Amino acid sequence: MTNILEIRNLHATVHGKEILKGVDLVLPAGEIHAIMGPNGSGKSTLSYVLAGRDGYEVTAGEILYKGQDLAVMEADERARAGIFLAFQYPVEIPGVANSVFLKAAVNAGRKARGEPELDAMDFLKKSKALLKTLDMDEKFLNRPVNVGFSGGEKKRNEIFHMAMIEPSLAILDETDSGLDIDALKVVSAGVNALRNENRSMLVITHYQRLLEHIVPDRIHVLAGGRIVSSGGKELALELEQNGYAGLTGDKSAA
Amino acid sequence: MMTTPATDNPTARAHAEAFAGLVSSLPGDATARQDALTRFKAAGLPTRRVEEWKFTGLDALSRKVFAPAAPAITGSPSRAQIEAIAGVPGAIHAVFINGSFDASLSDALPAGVALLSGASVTPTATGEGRGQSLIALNAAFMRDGVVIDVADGARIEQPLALVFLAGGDGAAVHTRNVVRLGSGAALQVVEIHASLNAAGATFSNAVTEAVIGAGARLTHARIAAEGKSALHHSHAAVSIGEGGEYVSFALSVGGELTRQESDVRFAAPGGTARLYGAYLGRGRQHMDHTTRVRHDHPGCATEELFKGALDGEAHGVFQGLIHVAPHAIKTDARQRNVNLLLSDRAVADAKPELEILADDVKCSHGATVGDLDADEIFYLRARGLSPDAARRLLLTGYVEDLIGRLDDAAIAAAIKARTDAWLGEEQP
Ligand SMILES: Nc1ncnc2c1ncn2[C@@H]1O[C@H](COP(=O)(O)OP(=O)(O)O)[C@@H](O)[C@H]1O
Ligand SMILES: [Mg+2]
Repeated sequence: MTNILEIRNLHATVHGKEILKGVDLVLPAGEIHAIMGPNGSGKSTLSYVLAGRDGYEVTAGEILYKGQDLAVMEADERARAGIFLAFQYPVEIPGVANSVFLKAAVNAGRKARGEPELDAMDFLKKSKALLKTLDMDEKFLNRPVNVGFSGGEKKRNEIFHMAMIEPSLAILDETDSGLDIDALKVVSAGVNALRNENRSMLVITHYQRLLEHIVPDRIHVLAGGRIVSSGGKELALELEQNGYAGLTGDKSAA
Repeated sequence: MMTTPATDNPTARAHAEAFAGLVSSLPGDATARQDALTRFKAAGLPTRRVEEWKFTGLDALSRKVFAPAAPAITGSPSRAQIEAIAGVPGAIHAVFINGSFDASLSDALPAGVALLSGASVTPTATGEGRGQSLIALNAAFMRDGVVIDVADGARIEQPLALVFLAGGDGAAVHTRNVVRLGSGAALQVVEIHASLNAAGATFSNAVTEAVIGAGARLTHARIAAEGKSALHHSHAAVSIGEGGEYVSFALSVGGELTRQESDVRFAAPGGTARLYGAYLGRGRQHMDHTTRVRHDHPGCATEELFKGALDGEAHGVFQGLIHVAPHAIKTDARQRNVNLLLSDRAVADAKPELEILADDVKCSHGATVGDLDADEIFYLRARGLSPDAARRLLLTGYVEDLIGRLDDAAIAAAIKARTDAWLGEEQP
């Protein structure tokens, strides 16, 4: 089995402050891994480092995506190469219709892969079908990106984008926060529908609730900038009962 | 000394000298024109020492002589070109070449729309005040324009596109429009100011007076899209009747120096003014939007939003004064100015001002100057857009967010065509 993502001894600083202090993580193709951890443990930082955000600097270690060193790739190159980040806090873009942005994003990736671009018709057809599965109104296509969307609508819109973009590696940063139970089910179903042997996902969450719906192959606990514990899905229940407090620095095999 | 004596300025002198020979060929009352010229001479051209002009200098009017333009010039565009220049779908077009009406390029004017040259409008001192001597100059030399009377209750569906084309090096063009809306009437007017020859240095000085009746609604767009060497000054003097509404969009995308002024007053309670503007500059362009709104009656609302995008060494100016008189309670006035500096040599000056003398009002104002938002850029890049594509999409959205506030589709389309063209042009 090939690995989509290999993170080795990753140290990273945010505006000069070290947040990640030696993260090791291997994500094989087709698997979903969850990353759990207390607030402020560096989960979003890891997601931004993977996505290539400016100001997030790798100071030691490496990240291999499909065997390729990510260090030399800009954020947009990474995205076109198949890395997708569903933001914890999706950004509002006034004046830009959701469909206009999404079509540009979808076609940027297709072009980079040498695939034909989606024309307006095909884009609309595919969009409408996916919106339906996510229980979203078609009006979300014409509205400015995330402007005036409720918290839950923003999260759904992220999953809608992911479904349209069809990434190889999806990083979902607290997609469950702000969702009520019905929305959580719909969003989880949308994510599960995208599961296949070529697509891997890193599902970041603070609560185990999401993992009842998106069942991961493995769970890693991030604390203090390191993976302090890894295990099967039963780890989530353990955390639910005992909290993060009992975790020590000893690492089980990743 | 607040002003330059008119005789010290070559452009002012050229006008004064041309007056006697021209006045008999200009419509309306010659004595009123003479009075206007006297007022202009007494005031002189505004200088930066006048508070209202501290960010914008008219040095260009002394570096070069601009004299009242000959009424007709050669090289007129075709009718198809006129429609492309106007860009207002389904409009009735009235075309003015160097300030004179051109019937062959225009549509038949509907009932209620007359020409200034045929209507014997007497120049008044409307809108004149401190720093406003260009309006007096306009009153002395205005050659043509439209005089529109919309009857009570009449709602004109077709937008009116007033296309003002200027050409000839050193030509000064003075036009004036008068718009009167009866109670409950509605009208959409777009002024498009463009150059016949993109390279020629012209000076256009356009004034529009509007009186909006009770419950009437006027949408008024001004598009300043002249060539690189053009100077442009326009002034809208607007009075809003009870429950009436004025929706304005002033766009600057052309010219070497552009100043668009709005002077709005509420003549009765319950009126609404929505003033929007965009200035998109690059190279060494200077663009000034100056607005003044007077709330002299209770229960009126003003919404102002002006956005600048400045590249190269462009200089943008926004000055906005909202005055709320002591008895103008329940005033709701919001004013915002946003500037994007796309280069580190571009400059934006903002002077938002509220003068609130009444209690029980809701007023706010604010101005920002900044770069494109880093979070927004990252969001777009993280979905695969190149830095350049992300920047362009954000800029488009920045302008679109403003245009989207217009309810009139044809006017929005005309403005969008101009802003899209600006956004599509390569950086110099
Ligand atoms: N832009 C920033 N500048 C400085 N410190 C930051 C910045 N962003 C996050 N941090 C710090 O990094 C740590 C990890 O934050 P984050 O990755 O957001 O945690 P999590 O997502 O696990 O809640 C926190 O201590 C936070 O305060
Ligand atoms: Mg986080």
